[in-house]
Amino acid sequence: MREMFLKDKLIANGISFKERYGINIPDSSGNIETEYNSVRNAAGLTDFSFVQKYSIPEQEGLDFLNNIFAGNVENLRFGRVLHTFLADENGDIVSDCYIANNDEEFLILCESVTDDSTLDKILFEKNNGADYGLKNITDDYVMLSIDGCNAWKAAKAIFGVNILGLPYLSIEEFEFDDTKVNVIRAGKTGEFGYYVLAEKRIAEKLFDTASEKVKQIDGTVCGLEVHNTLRLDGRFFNIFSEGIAVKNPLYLGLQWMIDLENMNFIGSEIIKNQRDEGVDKKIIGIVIENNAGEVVPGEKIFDENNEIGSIISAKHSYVLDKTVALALLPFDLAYSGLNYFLGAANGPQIQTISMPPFSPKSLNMKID
Amino acid sequence: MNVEREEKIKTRKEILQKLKEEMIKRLDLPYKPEDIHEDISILGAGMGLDSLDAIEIVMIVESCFNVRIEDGNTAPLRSLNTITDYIIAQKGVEK
Repeated sequence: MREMFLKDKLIANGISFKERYGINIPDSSGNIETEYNSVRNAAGLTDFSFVQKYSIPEQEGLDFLNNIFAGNVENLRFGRVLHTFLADENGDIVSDCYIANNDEEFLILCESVTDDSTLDKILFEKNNGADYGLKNITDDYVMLSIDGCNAWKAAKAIFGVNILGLPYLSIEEFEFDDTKVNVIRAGKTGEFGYYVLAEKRIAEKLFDTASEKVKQIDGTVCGLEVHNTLRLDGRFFNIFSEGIAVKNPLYLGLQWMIDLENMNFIGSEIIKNQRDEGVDKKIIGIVIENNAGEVVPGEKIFDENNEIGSIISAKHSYVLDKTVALALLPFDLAYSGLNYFLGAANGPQIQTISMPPFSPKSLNMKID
Repeated sequence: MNVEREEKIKTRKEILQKLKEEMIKRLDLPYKPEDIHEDISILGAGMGLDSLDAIEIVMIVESCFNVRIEDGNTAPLRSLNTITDYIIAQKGVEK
């Protein structure tokens, strides 16, 4: 099992660990509400080193990347980042990926529902990645994520004022402790987000500095569990939740991650056929009042006496103080503002909603 | 299916279809209307549109639905579904 390089630092900050796809990941501090509120109202620091990381030279890498991943890397300008996915031969999603054009190389960052060796097998053995110069750099770097409506304040305190000019889905080099680090502005919470990729030799110092700066603005160190809630009520795709449950990128509404005009990636034939035939289901947001009790994935949804779908993921949203869920429903019934029933025809009433269900503070934040 | 729900679906469907068709046409997006999930973020993440595109979307809402989104009111622009909620609320279509 892969361990986090910063495990001791995280334990010292009260974070517990659990296994996910062969990686011992930081889970939570035990107080999800505090972690959640720190991101929505200030900033949270999370170790994202579980992400699988690869590099490939720009010239040799273009064809490889375009034949593997769903997005088009061809038009990805220097300094920009593409959000796309990797599917298997059945067209099911395997990995949620950022591909960054970083000078003369591409960096590939993967959140996968496979362990490290299975992903390596897909990229190296089945698709000859090494022939194109692909390198697995997962163990060479740590990746920290600073998220929150005030995350920019922490980022500015660490890297200087220039970081405020970094556009969304961009990568740029900054200096920390006389060492170059890559910062990507991204994130999947709806708030400002910065991924920091740093060599291991400065990782502990970087973590200490980042955690100090985050705490100075009333933030905290977070585990990964809170990101399941932040992604859900921020309506960002979560491969570890709806991704693994639904698998089908078209049901998941991930067409925006696909280069639809040039589909020749792994699994593209099946996805293309499904698209041509028409998609019959999709996921939709649901809000459930607290008196309905605990809502668990797999619970059936009824329309009068007919079972029409099921809950895919559900979490308590601390902003709404209600349960927010995603459900997979027939295409023609997946419209916002409709009432259905949970668990049985006479079960608690639930309502489909427009997502994201609230405006994150970052949307109207002026940074300086 | 009850009449009230049918009417709700019909209203939303018509607004969403028009919004998608106009966005595809005016922003030159490489999609069919059914490719665009109504909850996907319009700006930044998701569809990856920028602030100039946002102005075009505001103009689409105004010209196609005669509904004005005031300057600085970014809340409706979270997704196509939230724009549709705003249009319905402003027009008082949904009872």
